Amino acid sequence: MNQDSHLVKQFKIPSQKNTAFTQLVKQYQEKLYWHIRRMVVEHEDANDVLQNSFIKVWNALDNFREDSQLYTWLYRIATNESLSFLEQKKRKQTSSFDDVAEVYGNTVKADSNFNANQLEWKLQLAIQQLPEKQKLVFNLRYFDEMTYEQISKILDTSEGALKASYHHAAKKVEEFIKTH
Amino acid sequence: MENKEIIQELEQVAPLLNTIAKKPVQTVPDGYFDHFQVQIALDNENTQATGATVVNLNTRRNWYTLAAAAVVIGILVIGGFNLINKQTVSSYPGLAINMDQIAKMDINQSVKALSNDAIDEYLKTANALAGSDNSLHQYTVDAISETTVAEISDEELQLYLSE
Repeated sequence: MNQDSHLVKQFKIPSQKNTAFTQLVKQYQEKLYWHIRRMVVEHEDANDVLQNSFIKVWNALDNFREDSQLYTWLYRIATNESLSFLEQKKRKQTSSFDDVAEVYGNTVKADSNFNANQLEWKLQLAIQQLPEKQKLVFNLRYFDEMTYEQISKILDTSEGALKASYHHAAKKVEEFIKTH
Repeated sequence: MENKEIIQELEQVAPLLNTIAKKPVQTVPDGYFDHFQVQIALDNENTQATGATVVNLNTRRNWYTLAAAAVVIGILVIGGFNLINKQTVSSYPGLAINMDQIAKMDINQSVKALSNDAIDEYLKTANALAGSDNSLHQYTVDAISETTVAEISDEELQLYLSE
């Protein structure tokens, strides 16, 4: 039995629920935080979305049937929460994607560590130019180093479409870095 | 294993990306991951017993909510006040116009323009409204001119004409 499976079983025992959940949070908080942060950009927003994601996990883990890996299930929840958050934010701010991309770009530049000449920061700016779905695929493949099969389970998209989307995104990101 | 595949894949599609470090560059508050707690409002006996934190998740935005509520309340109060004032002023628009007209009227001219019948009609109506013991009801305009004028002395008439 792997560690994730053990955690899920432990969570379903009332007396061990809290211990299992604390362990699960410790194990996945950083990975999920960065997955969310790359999408929502600001720390405060990432913190809110991470909180909401773990609350969803707390409420739904009892019914988790282990048809999929806990890892991909958690990412799926965090992804859906991030997309819902972005949708709400976009409705409040503007309906134009170009404007949203600019807003995110400016948020990236506002970071106290920002260095316009550093490749890592150029990469962050380039990612903000991608449409949300492409951004997700790029992040999950490039940063989280997931297989297309895992990404497919998180995003409910065929592996072929994901591969095409990732290649397209990678080329766009590289082009942006070269020209900025 | 997957990492190697990803590097090879990028080598063909966007080789520049293989030269960039993947470590996060954005800042995170000091000790954020060490002190991170999931803040769940618990209604479960088991979990309450462990002393899990119960915190409002949206405290960060509370001042926005309060400010918006204050603005809405302000608009409602001012709007309501204005509406009541407007209603008070416009409750008797007919009266306001009549008073205006009356102030501009030349009373003497207007009375001269009235016919005897109209004045009789007015007196009857006024008497009926004022009550039966009002002495005016006993006279018509013609009766006044035929009877009461004859009873007035010459001195009184002279005094009236000199005025």
